[in-house]
Amino acid sequence: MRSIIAYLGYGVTVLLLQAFLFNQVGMGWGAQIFALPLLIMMLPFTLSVFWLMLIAFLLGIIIDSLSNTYGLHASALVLFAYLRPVFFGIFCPREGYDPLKSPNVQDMGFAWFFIIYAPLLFIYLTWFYLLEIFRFSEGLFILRNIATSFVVSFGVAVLFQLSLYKMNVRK
Amino acid sequence: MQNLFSFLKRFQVFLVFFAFQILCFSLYIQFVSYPSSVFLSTASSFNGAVSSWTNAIKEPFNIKENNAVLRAENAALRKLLGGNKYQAIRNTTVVDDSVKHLKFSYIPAEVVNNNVTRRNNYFTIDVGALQQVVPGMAVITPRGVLGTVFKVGKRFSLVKTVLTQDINLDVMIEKSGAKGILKWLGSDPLRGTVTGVPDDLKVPIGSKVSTLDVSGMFPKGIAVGTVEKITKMENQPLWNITIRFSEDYRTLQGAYLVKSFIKNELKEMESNVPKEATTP
Repeated sequence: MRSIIAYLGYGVTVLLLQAFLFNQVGMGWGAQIFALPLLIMMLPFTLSVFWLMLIAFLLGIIIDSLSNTYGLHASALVLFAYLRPVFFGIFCPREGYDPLKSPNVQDMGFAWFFIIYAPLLFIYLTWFYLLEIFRFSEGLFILRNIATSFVVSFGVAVLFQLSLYKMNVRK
Repeated sequence: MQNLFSFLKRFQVFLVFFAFQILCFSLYIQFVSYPSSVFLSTASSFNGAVSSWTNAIKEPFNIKENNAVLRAENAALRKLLGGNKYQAIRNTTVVDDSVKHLKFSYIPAEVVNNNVTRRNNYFTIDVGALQQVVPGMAVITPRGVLGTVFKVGKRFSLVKTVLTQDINLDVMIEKSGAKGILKWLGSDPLRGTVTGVPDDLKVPIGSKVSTLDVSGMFPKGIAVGTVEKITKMENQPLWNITIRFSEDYRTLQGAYLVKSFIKNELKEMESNVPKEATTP
C-alpha cells in the first residue's frame, strides 16, 4: 500500500513537472527533457505488460492534452511499455527477478538500471520525433533532436534516481 | 477456429499494443483533420482553464516587457488619432463616413499557452466561439504576426503559429516589393525563413518583412521580421532568406484576432476565376 502511494506521488510530481516545466522550457538545439518514460520504467516487476501499456497510454493522453501533441506522447509511451519486458528479459539475473524488489537504482544497481533505460529511452525518443516531424527530408533535424534530448533526459533520470537513492539511504 | 484462437493468444501482447497505437494515431489524425473538434487539446474548456492557471503563474515574469511593448503600441496609435493632426485648410474638408468602409476589426485576446519547443507549435488564446471566433482568422501581436486560428472551442481557441512546419504565410519584403512565403525550420523560435523570392531581386540585409493581404486575411503591412541573412538556394534561381521575427514568441502574452469583413467577398469573387485560367 505504501509503495502504491509512493508511486502515485512520483507519478503526479513527474507529470506536473513534464507538463508545466519541461514541456515549456526550450534549451536550444532541440533539447527537451522527457521524464515520463522513467515512471513506466519504475513500475513494479510483477505488473503485466497489459497494465504497463494501459498506464502508459493514460499518462500519455494526459500529457498530450496539456501540450497539444495529440497522441504522440501516448504512442511513444505505449511503445516504451511494450518493450520494457523485452529488455528486462535480456538483462534478467540468473535467479530471475525478486518480486519484492523494484526496478530502480537502489534495488537493482546503476549498471542494470541504465543499461536498460538507455536503449529504451533512445527508442522512445526516436519514435516520438519521427512521428512528430514525419518528414524524412528533415532527417538531420530529427537526429539532432534525438541526440540532445537523450542527453538531457538521461541526465534528469540519473538525478532523479540519485535523489531517491539519497532519500532512502537517509531513512 | 482453433488456429485463430491460438494465434490470438500467441500474439495477444502485440495485438493490444497495436490497438493502443491505432488509438493514438486516430487521435492524432482527428486533431489534424477536424478543426472543429477541440477534444483533448488545450482549447477544450478544462485544459484551457488549467493553462490559464499556469499562465497566471508565468505572467508576472514577463509583465514589464509586455507593458513596454503595449505602451509603444499605444503611443504609435495615439499619433494616428484625429486630435493630433493640425488641420491646415479649414472649413473645406467634409468628412464623409460612407467613403471609407471598415475592412478589419480586432478582438483582443490573452495568450494562455505559448509553448515554442515543439516542431509544430500551437498557442492557446482565451477567446472562442462565444466571441465569434472562427477558424482561419488571422492573429497578430503588438509587434508582429502570430498565425491563424486553427481550432475554436467555447471559450478558448488554438492558434496555428508561424512556428509550424506548413504555415506558408504570404509575405512581402518591403521596398523591393518581392513576395515570398514564410516557413519555419523548427529549431529557432527567433528566426524564420522566407522562400520563393527570385535571386535577381535585390534583398538588402535589414530590410523589413511584412504581411500581404493576398487572401484578405491579414491587414497589409503587419510586421513579420527583418532580413538577417540571405543565401542562394541550390539548383534554383531563388534566395533562401533568414529573417528574425519582430515578435518574441517565447514571452508573448497578448494578441489580437483580426476580423476581416472582406475575406468572404474576396473568396467568392476569386472563385469565379475559371479553372483553366489558373493552371499554367
